[in-house]
Amino acid sequence: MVFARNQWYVAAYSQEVGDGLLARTVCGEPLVLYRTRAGEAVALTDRCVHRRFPLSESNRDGDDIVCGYHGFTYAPDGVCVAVPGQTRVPRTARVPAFQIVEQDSLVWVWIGEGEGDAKAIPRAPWLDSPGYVTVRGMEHLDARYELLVDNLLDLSHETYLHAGYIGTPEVAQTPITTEVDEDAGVIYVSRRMKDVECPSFYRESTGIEGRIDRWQDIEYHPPCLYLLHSRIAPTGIEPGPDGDDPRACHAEIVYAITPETETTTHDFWMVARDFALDDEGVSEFLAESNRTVVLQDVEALNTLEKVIATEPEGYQELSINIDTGGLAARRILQRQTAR
Amino acid sequence: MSPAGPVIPARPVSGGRLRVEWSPGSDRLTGICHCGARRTAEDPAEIWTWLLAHPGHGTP
Repeated sequence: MVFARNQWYVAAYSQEVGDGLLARTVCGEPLVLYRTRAGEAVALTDRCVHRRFPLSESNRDGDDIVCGYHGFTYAPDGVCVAVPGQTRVPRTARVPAFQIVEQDSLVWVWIGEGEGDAKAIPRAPWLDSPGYVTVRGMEHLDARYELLVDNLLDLSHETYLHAGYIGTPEVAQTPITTEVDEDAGVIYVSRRMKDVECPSFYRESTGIEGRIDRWQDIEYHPPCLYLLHSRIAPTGIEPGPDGDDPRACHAEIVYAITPETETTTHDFWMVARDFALDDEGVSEFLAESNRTVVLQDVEALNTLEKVIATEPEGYQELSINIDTGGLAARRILQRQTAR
Repeated sequence: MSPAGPVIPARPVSGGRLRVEWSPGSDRLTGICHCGARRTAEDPAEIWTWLLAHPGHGTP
C-alpha cells in the first residue's frame, strides 16, 4: 500500500463545494463532493453501483444525486433510494459515504477504516481568521506526493529553483534546526536569517525597505498539512517577550498535499498574511507570484516523476545534510502507511 | 559568500522532541536527544538512527 489511508486529507477548499457535483480523487478513491441545502458537505464514491457511471457527471434532485445513465438515485448518506422501472431497491444498492470535517476553510475527508478522530486534524486558523487575508490556488501535479514533501521540507532549493522570486543566496547558507516530535508525529524545520536581502516576493508585498530578518519556520503534519510560518521584519526588530510582534509582517504559507493516485497529487497552496489587509493589489501580486513559484515546483517535480518512471529498479539516492527534515518526514510517512 | 548569521534556536528541545542542528559550510550535524544526549555525525540518516535508538544511544 502506497498511501497512508487511515489519515485525514484535504479533499477541497470549502468554497469549491457547493450546488455542483465536484469530482476529486483522494488516495485512489474517486469521490463526488457537493453541499446539501442545509449546508452540509457530502462526499460519496463517484461510481454508481449499477454500471459505474460517475455520479459527478450526473444530476442533483434536491439533496439526492440521480445517476445520469439509468437514474439510480442516492441520498447524501449513500443509500440508493430509487431505481428505474421497479419499486424494490436492492438492499445492497448504496455507495460509500465518507466522513467530512470542514474547518479553517478546508474540507477534510476520512477514507480510512471506521471513524476518523476529528480532533486529530491539524489546524490552520489563519485561513479564515478576520485578522488575515488569504489568497489560494490548487495545481495538479503529475508526480507522486512524496516528491512534493521532499521539496517543501528542504527550502534551500529556493535559491536555485526560485531565484528572483522567493530565493536569495542566504536561504541556502543559513543554519537550520530540525526537530521531530515523535509522539505527535510533527516535523519542524527552522531557518532564521538575520540582516539579509529581501526577495521581491516580500519587498513588493510588505513595503519593507532595506535589509530584513527573515524567519522560515516549517511545521509539517504528515501526511497532508504543511505550514510555513514566515516572518519578515526590518533587520534588528525582534518580537516582544510576550510574543507581540507589531513591526513584523507575517505570512502563513499553507500547503495541503493530497495524493490523487500513486503518481499524481493535488497541490493546494495558500498564502495568509497579516499585513496590507485592504490592499487588493497586494493580494493579486501574492497570488500571481506564489502561483508562479508553485508552477516552478510543479514543472521540476513532473520532470522528476518522468525520470523515476524510466529508471531501473533499485536506484540509490544520495542524501546530504540539507535532507535532514525530508528524511524525518519520509520515516513518519512510512510509519503511517504501514498502519 | 559567508553564512548569513549565527544559529538562533527556534525552540528548546522539549518533551519528546529530537533535534538536529546544522550550519551550512560545516559537514557536521549535531543530534540532540530529549534526554540530553548529543552526538555529531556527517550523515543525516546516521544521526536519525542514533537519535531514534533512545535510550540505547551507546557511546557518543
